[in-house]
Amino acid sequence: MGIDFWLNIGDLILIAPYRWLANPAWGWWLGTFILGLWCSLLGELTMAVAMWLNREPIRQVLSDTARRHNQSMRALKAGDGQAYKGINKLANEAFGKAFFLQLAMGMGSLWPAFLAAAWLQARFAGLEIPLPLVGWQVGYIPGFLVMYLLSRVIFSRLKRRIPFFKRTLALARSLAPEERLELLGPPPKKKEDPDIPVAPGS
Amino acid sequence: MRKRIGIVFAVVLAATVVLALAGGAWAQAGGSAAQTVTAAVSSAAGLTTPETPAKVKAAIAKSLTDPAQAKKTAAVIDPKKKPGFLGIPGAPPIPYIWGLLWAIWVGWIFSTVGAFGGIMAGVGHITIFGLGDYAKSFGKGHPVNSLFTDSIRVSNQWLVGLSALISSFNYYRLGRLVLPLGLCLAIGSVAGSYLIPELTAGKINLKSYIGYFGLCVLLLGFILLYETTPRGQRSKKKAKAAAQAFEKQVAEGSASADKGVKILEGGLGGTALAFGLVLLGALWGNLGKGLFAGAHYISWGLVIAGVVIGLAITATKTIRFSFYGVEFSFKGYIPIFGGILIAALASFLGVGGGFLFVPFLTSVAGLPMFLVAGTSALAVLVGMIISISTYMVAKGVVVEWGFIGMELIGIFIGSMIGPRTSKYIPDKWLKILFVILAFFVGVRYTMKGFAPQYWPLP
Repeated sequence: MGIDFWLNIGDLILIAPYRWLANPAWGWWLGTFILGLWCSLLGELTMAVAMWLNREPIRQVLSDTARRHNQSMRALKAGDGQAYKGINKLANEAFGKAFFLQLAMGMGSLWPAFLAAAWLQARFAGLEIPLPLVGWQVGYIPGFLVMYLLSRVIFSRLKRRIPFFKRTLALARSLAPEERLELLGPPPKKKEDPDIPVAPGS
Repeated sequence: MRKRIGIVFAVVLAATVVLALAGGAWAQAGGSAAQTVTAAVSSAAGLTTPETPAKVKAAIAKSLTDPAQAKKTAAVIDPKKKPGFLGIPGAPPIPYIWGLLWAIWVGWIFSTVGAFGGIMAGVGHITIFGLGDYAKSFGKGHPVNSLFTDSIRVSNQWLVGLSALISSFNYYRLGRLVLPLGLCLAIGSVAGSYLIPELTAGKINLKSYIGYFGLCVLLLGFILLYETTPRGQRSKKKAKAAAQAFEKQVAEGSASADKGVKILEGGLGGTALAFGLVLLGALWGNLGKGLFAGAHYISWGLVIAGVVIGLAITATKTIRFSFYGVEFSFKGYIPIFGGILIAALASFLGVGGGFLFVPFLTSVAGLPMFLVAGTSALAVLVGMIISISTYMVAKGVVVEWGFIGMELIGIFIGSMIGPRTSKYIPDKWLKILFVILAFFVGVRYTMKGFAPQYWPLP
């Protein structure tokens, strides 16, 4: 059982949803949406595994970046321009490492989409697929792009209800602990104290 | 502020979708028509297979109209051999395994050093996989040579440009975006990302591309070398000493209650209009080209008008905002110029762009790193979408999707290994290793590109 055997099995699984509907155009869009869901699931799984395996290095680089940034802001508020410039430069270096580490891990969420595009090229290259209700015809790549984006948005909502991904989201939040959350997240909403009257317009 | 940013984000994504759908339809229609004509020519010569993409067939057919190029085409393309890269008979097979292994090396660099990864990805595409040598065998000015060069450029861009997509989503969630800065960057970024493919796609042969690539790597080598010298180390040591001294002076504790970004001066109306014109020009260039004679001049006109209006508005205006209770200001033309230069470099060579904005804005405009990182990611994302879609939709450049997918897997694996090995290798030795690599690659490519007769090694 060589690699061709497994490629054929994969092809059979992927092409099946394209044949579920009688109308081939609708069938193509449905099949491509399901393909997008497969890509989203595999991509998110890969990212989750990466985060679990790399949690300490991620915590380290994010902490370094946030620490340097905090320092640079304090220097600026204290009016020390020289210290601000120098520390901002250190923050740049720390940022570079954090940026590229997260980027490389992010590739883990996107690899299935490119392999899917290669499969689509082998299956549907040269075909024009009608857009339902509109009358345009498009190639396989634009159609896949739209379906993939849609499936990613839907999957991002669904994964909050899946236990494994819930734990991963909790891990992601914990990688930026309390002292840095105020920097790394949006400004927290003010809690309203019922005993303190709120001025109009605030 | 977040609502406005959300609206901008949604507009960008919607434009992407429209661009992809309509541009794809247009390219497909154009490809079909071209395919009919070129298939007749190429098939008659027996130089292509049914799997060969339309654009490749068109390039081969074009070469057959010139006697000297036709001779080269017949000498290089062997119809008896299996189709290889880009579906050309006799071309090197798609190097999945080498691509994976090299990409692991690239991923290791990404996660260890924080720079240089894109350059190594480019070296892989140009040299390691044998694609460069095959393209050069067609000779200077040959349409297939130019097609290979453009395919390599776009493949580089996909790999490195994906950083903008990934980081944009992260930074949008963080809410640390400065909209006026983002718009100014985007004006320059879109203009540079559109005009470069427009002006250079199909016109750069591999030898010249290698030469320019080499020059960029040499420059990076000199910067890395400077950072290892005592003088270069001095500024870093001073910065660390200032940080330590400052930490002792100022008590840690409650930060200012004012933590968000507040725009104090610098209305969005003018810059938003300028950005709209540039984006419209780029979209028209991808969608409306070929509708009638001279249609492409409209796109050039819109892009240039957008840049000129943006520069005119920002020349006399200062954009001021506060963050953490501290006020910042900058002249809008600085990020516009920077956007044009960096996006043009990224679009031409397929490297840089993603991370170059941050050091540029923190050094030149003196802005805090954290704000700049988030804002520039969005501008780079917009530029990347325009550049890649201009190459692929308007110019029909072909890429091997499965090959890029394997490279992404490799980069990911490398990023897993990198953090585990970095504690065993001191930063200084890593920098020295990359200085040596940068000089070797930079000198080799520069010589091979511009003065191959003086380069004695392969």
